Amino acid sequence: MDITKFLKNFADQFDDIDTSGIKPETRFKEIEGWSSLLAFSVIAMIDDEYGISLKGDDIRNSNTISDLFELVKSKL
Amino acid sequence: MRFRLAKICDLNDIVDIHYNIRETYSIGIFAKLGKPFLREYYKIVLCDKNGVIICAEDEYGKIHGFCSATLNVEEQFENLRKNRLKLGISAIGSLIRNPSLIKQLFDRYRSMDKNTNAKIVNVKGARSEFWAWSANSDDSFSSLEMHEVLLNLLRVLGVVDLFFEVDTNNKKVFLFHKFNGAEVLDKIYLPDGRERALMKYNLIIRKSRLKI
Repeated sequence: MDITKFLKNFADQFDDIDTSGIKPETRFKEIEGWSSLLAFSVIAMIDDEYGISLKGDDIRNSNTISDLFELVKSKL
Repeated sequence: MRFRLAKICDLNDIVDIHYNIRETYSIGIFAKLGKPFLREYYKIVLCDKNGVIICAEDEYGKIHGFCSATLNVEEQFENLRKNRLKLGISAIGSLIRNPSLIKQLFDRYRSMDKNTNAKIVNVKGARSEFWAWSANSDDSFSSLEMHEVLLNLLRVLGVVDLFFEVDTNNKKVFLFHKFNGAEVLDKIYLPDGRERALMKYNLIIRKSRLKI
């Protein structure tokens, strides 16, 4: 599991905005267009790509994309 | 946030939340019909034997959102038809201010007939209805968990197929339901040109994406 692919998968969930500035240290809840429905699509992506089911609290307690990446990695 | 069944004492909060969604989703006719109409509508639905409304309440007792369904849409529509006079009177003020709503209301009323060709909503079986969340809430993710609680509860109550509708221009919500295991049964066009997907959850075979 590598962060580059994870970042791309994460950015693919946004279809209306420029995601070129998204980096591991980006605080994802501050990205324009972030919403609960987008959080859900991230959960679905992680389920599909990595076979990991995240809970709402996992999203609530994570701040950066790197936090999410590490969380998923720890559950693999 | 805790989730619980809504009661008649939640009427004012439910009306306010539904009324305020017109600021973010301006197309829905119910909010345009005004608070008196919503108040009358939810009074009926909260007391309907088939009605199931889940609300989300924070630690201070403030309601952040709700989602509603009926176990039997035919019986619920019959109940609404019986109360059409009360509902009509409660909408008069909004209809006078905005006469274009009269046709929309008439189309919606006609669509409640199971024999109609003018289908706008699903008219058989269990139906998921409204899902609304306060724009002022700082925990919108709970709205997804609330929706999941509704689906779980309906499954426990014996519902297998849960029908509902989503306008496809409401893209994020449409995709949410698809990701969450719903299937599109049909697509129709409303009199105002909107494309609407008639959808269904099979609550038995559906794989839940959201763990609560």
